[in-house]
Amino acid sequence: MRIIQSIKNASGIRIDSLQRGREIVFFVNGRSTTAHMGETVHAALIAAGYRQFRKSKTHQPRGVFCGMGVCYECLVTVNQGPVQRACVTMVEEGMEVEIDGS
Amino acid sequence: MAWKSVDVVVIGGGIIGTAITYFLSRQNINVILLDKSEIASGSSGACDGAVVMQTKKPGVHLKLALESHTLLNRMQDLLPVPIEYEKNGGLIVIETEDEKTAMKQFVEAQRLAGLDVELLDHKQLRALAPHLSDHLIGATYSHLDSKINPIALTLGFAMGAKQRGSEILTGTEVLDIEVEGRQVSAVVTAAGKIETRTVVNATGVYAPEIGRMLGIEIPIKPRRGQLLVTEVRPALLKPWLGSANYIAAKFNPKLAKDGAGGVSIDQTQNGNLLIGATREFVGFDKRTTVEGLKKIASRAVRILPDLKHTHLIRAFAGLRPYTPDGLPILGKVEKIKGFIMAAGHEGDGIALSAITGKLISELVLEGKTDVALDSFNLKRFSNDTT
Amino acid sequence: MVPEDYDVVIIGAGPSGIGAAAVLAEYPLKVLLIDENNQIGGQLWREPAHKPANRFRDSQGSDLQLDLRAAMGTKMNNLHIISPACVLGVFPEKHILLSTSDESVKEIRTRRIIFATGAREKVRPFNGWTLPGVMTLGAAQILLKYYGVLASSNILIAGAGPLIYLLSSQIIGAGGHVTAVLDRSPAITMLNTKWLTAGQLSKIGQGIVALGRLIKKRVSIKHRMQVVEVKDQGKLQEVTVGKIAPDGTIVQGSQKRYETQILAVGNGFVPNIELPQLAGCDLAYAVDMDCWIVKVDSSMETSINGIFAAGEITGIAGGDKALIEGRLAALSILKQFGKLNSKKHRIQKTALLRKRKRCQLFGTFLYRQWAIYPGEWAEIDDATIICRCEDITMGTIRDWIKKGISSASELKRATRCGMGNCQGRTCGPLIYDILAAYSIVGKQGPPPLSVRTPVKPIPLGMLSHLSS
Repeated sequence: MRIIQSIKNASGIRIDSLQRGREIVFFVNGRSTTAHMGETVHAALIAAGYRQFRKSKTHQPRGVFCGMGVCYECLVTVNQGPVQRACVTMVEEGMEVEIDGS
Repeated sequence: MAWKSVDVVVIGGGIIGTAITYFLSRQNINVILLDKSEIASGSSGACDGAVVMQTKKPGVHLKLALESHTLLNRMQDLLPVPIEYEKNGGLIVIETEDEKTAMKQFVEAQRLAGLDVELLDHKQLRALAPHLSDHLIGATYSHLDSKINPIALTLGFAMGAKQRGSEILTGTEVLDIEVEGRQVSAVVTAAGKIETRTVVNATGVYAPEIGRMLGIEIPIKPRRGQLLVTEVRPALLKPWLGSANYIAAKFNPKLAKDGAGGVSIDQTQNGNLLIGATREFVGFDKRTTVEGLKKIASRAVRILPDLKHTHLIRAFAGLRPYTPDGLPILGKVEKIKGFIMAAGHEGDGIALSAITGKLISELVLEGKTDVALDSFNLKRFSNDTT
Repeated sequence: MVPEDYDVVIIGAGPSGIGAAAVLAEYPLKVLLIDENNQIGGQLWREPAHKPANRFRDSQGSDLQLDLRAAMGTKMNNLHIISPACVLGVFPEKHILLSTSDESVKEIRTRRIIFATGAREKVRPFNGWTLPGVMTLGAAQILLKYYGVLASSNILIAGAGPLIYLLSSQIIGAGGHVTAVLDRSPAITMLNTKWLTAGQLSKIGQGIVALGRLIKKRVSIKHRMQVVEVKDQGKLQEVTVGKIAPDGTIVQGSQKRYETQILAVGNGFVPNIELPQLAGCDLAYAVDMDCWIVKVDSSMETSINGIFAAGEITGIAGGDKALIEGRLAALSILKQFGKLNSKKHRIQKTALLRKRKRCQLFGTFLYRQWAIYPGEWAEIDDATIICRCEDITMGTIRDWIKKGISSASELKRATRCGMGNCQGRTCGPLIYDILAAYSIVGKQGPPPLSVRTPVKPIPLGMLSHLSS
């Protein structure tokens, strides 16, 4: 497949050579966003163009780092509950994810 | 041939030993502090930073605490390490009418002893700490209660002492204490012999080991306290919090019912919540147990329901140096000249650190202290009259 | 809570855990295989998310004969698999406490434990490594291979080891663009004949294919290049790199700038020894790899009778060694249970140990590429963050080193490094390196930071609901 994207577009890209679960809708800061069953929150966020998930102790921007649940950098709020690692949380239909991209 | 020769050897690099060394170092005197491991690697590195007046026994214990409090206030400016001292007051929450009765009595005794403490009702408590559970019927509150970072304070005392010329040797275990007749003459370590005529035993739970080197029995035993550390949260709790049951269990076991159980919650300057604690006699076992953690977690969530979703990121256990009467063992030991005790602060080490440091340094330099230390002397435990 | 009894519990379902399970499942033993992830396979044997893993092949392509679907059914119903499951603690007499996805807690009693907890990635820090536009090689690879998401259309790859070439090739295969491949090791290491002596012919094959793809796409491959800074310019990342000399210093005037969208970087792996450490197993400092590993004998048994360790946690050397060691551990257990006679055991063990030795050579070769030179730490800016959880900088650490701290624990107490959410998993290995570089601790290594129950964060509400 060919990627026809200008270098300015920083979104993640879903490649089409992979069979995916059914498409679902979840919410990022209230904004409706598409994802697929079987994806993690972090994969869905990156594919949707979100890169900064939160701010650190001294207010520095943070996002995905290790991608495997070890570093605790990709923390997001899910369904108004406890803060969770986006890279080990599966996305669900109607899920409400809050990130701090400011 | 001695390796070194000094005026005073302080054994134990925890909060008490470093505080003593700091106060000694302010005088023109040759001090060495020895620790078998690292500064604050023992109990002082495994506790919360509560500097709570309300939990001290009215009488000489509370008196000491109040003096220590005044001193600690000044330490912020004197020590070379930021100690995160915060004067946000302290709350002891009350859940049952029985507890309320007991706390009322306690408050009266404390007031008589000179502590500024008041009883809050349900409404007043909600106003002061809105995140707390609605089922709490009230609390006692003292604006004198404060908090500090215990590791930073220990390091602060140590660095402060070093800056003033004291020597600190870590990784240096004391193997024996030599005497000439009944007078201390040297401290033997693996690295060499240190000549001295004064030794201060500030080794907390290990104090009995040092005592045995001189044939002295010291009734201190380790009482384990497990502590939970949560992830950083935005400000949930400004004052230190304890529960009436926790305080009651410390002094009056009859009031402490196993079912309910007490808890203490302290939000550090960094934003983590320190939640504790168990009281277990398990020897020197510093492991955390799921049973212990579970008990503390359920009590905490009962008092502060908001904590339900908060993650515990670390748990650890500290060994409190417990004495049979809950008071530390301070002062000269009659049997051996030059041997001074400064251990057994059981859960009050941080709060009493500054005053202990000051008084023991007075004792070393002048042979007497401003505040009489008779009630704290080791001889209160012995049966013989020699 | 009624404890469940097992004969063997295998903690970690990557190549070594699965390898052990495959051997044990052939015998009438009650075996439990657990993994903290939603799917088994660990990091190396991840399958695309929508396709649940049930067949695994080792790198030589031969089928493992482990059909895990069947394991749930009739053929191997003595093998239970729970994933995700998080081990809360390992207690004396082989008691394990697990929390599972439905928030319930299981108490397990077992006769044997195999720790197969794998490894995590290490990154040599630089200014800006904490930015959202910077992630590990593994993170980029997981996104791509497991979720079919290219982290972005343009990715700059840096670090060392075969993974930088493999990942670049995978990105190109998926239609992405690789800005450049910046290999910090000297070009000569690629020609190292250790590849052959390590018997890694298949890896050479993979390497040639990957390189071929990169050459065809005219991807710029540079050696001895180290990232020194990343600046976030909005959608773009400005990455500054410089030539790294053998003493670890950055050559004056060698700096170059790249513009890209995502920087994927990695400097090797660190064993996940936390659970075996908590269980009380003796650790050893692997001087040739600068990391703490679990000490095992040739039967893969640790210092605690009946507790075994296999895979990356006994030494980083990749999936083949992991699989071999999983098998070795399983065979040792079978012999201990009297299910395998000594002669048969000895024959299989000898053969596996021979293969293992070659893999270990490969591991040492890998490490040389990854090694962070002691001299590099002096190059790292005071402002560079070392402890990401607490935002502790290199400058703060240097201050305390000057004040005279003498161990990782002392540094932790003084600075808060290692006290955050990840409990030192990211900064711990860096701190051990820093202390060694500043000659605070000798070659035998500093004692590792202590580990306590629980080993991973758990919500207080969940902890308080554990039934007793």
